[in-house]
Amino acid sequence: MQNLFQEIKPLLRKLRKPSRFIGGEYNAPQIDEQANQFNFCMVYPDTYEIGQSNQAVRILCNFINNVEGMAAQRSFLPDPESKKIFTDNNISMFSIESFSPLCEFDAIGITVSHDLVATNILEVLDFANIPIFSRDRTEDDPIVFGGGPMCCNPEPYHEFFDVITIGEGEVATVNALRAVSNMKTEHKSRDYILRELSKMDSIYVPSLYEVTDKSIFAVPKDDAPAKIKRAIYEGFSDYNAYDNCIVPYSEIIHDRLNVEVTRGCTRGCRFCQAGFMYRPVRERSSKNICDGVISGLEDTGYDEVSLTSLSTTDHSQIAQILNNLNLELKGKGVRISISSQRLDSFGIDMAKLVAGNKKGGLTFAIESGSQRLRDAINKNVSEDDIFSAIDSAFSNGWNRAKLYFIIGLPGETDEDLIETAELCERILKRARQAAGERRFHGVSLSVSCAIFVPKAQTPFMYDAQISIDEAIRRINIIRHNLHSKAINLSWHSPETSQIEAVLSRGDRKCSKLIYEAWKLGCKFDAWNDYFDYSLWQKAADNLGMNLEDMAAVSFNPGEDLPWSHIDFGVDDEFFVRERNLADKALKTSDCSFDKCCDCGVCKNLKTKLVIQGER
Amino acid sequence: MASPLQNMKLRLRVYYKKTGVLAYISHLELLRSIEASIRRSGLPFCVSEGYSPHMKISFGPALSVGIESENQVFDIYLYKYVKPQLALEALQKSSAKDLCPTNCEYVDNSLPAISAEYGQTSYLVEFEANVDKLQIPEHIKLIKKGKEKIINVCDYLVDDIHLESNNSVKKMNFCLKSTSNGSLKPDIFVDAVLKNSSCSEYKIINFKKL
Repeated sequence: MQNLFQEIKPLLRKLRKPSRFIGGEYNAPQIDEQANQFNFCMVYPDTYEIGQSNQAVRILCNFINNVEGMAAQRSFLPDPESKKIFTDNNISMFSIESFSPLCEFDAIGITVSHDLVATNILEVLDFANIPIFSRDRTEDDPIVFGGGPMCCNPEPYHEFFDVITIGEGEVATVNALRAVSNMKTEHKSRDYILRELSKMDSIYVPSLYEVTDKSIFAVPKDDAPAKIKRAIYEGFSDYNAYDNCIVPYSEIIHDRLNVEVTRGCTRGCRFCQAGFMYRPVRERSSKNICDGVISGLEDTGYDEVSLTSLSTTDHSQIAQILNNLNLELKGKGVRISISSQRLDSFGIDMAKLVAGNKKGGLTFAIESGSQRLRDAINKNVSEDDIFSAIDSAFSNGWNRAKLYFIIGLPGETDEDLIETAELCERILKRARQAAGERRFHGVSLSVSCAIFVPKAQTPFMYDAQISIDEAIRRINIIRHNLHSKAINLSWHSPETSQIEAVLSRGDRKCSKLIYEAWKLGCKFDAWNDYFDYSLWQKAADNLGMNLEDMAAVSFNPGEDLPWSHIDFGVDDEFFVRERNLADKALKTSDCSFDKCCDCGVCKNLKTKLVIQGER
Repeated sequence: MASPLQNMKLRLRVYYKKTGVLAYISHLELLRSIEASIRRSGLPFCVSEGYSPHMKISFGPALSVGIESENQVFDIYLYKYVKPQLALEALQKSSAKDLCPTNCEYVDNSLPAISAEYGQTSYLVEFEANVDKLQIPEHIKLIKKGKEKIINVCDYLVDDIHLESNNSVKKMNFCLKSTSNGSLKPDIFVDAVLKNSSCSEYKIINFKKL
């Protein structure tokens, strides 16, 4: 492959942030060009600052680099101004280890962590000089893989990816790449390769499926499997909690050591896609985690470590882990942070343990101020839980907390919204009491409201999203009922949430919408400065589509859905049952604490819970 | 939480180079990278006291993006004596090769802060091709934060520029000083000197102070 560094070097001074493009970070892999080496490029479709902290990029690059004869590099999108400087100088998208053009790699993989990167996927392909549509790619083009949360409903992207991994990629993607490598060595054609890949576990080749009059979901044209099952990485618990971590020069988001302590969460919140995408719960042991944190900090030199998972404080050994780490890291100026604290497991002990060293931020996801609605969404959190967590936090030194809510949940009433506002005021009062008189004026709350986006593979996937006008009306109810200046209210843009809703449950038609929106100039939709709702509307108009209708589509529980051929292992009956229980505001237990709730995953995917201690 | 052996505070001065691709990282990015490499090295560095403890380290003056340097400097404070040679090896092992310490020595705690010491810096410029029509301007016009600013070159230029030869030049030496009113960045100065010339590509290497 070419090395474009000599052409790129004179341009570096003109770029806004040259360090985004030079690679060479501490712990970055040394990529030597070898004959017969299979070259893979992992792409995050956003800038370096955002993509470099993505754990999928880190995990997959590590796994692939560990395979003999394979090498993985990274690439990220430049900001639009820098991109123009590259294209003006005839430089196409390149990897940052060996500065090689993406179009010369054997395969590239684009991780799609949320729907707002949709148009950026096309930016990547276009900048890389790779044909945007799978059907237009030739034998010289790399095989284009996709993965990440988009796999819950990959249909809006079906035209852009040759191959999509459904589920966890550690084994599934690596095996697929090995197969591509072998077939390329045997000089097999692109068509042959894609057909063989479609027969592999958890690999979806969209071009080998079609939607007909008879079904709303795609069916195989030939002998590809009718349903594609989600991959679960069975080796997760035993694998080292610390794996090679590149230390960037630039300041990236979440710039700290990440140690994944658990995968999966079965609290079963009915709106949460991650809960259904990663179940069952698999914990790593306390020893694995602590060893990982210590060796990770030694290897990287970070001064902050984040224990990540979908709900870290639920880990059966969390108190022991935090105690051990606090002892080991005493006096070293290292901050320990926990992503997502569950309100019902963040007791006084937890607060003291995390308070030990420098404090990270505290975030509590309450979702709704109304107990009835919290029960309906299966968020098992009572007011006692909330206030006890607030007491613990604020009496142990915290002055600020962030509270997350969701507006527009199925069954929500105006009274629920007023209850939300009132709850925030009561939380502030309680926080001030816990903090004491001296810190009264330092106490503040940030309240962030997201707008409900119905997601595929959740019990609420049958429900419509509320309209933009309705979202604004509901946000205003909360605004008008919040009085204290110490509460800062913010909310997600209803327009971007609508685009998310259109794509999260979209069918194959949506790929035309994404392409049209991109052609009209949409890109970096997750960035406030670039998102342009009017262009998306124009794209929809040009195609005779209506964004509001698409976001508001609803299904009867149990009917076929555009993603029914993607099998996450959860029985349809379970989704229907959960949806009905929501209407009655009845809760379902969490199998990692309680008895099995019969979702079907362990039986269908032949897997099981891994809990280290006792929850 | 302060380190347990806080009574000792030994000031270790570390000289390092910033070359190759790493010339393109900013000063802020540099500071963070050096702190991380010190943590990786395992050296017994002092941590400040108080609510938000951080590493006790002080840096020399900032280098512009794109400028290479063979000798930059920082001071760290150690709470335990480590032989300079061993300290250097530990630091080199935990650094990228283009951002690597070259030497270190203990200096007296009573010395003034580094930033005060390095008021003058000497630069060597290598041009991509031989250049002609070099001219030292009297003033340079800059746009800073939307406002126009006129810089008097003689406020910052120390002595004259030193050329390899008088006609066709490949290398140029000059020295700039920073004052309480500000400083003149070397690349801005070189761009102005090259204004009437056909060449615009060059490499600047920063030298030790005179």
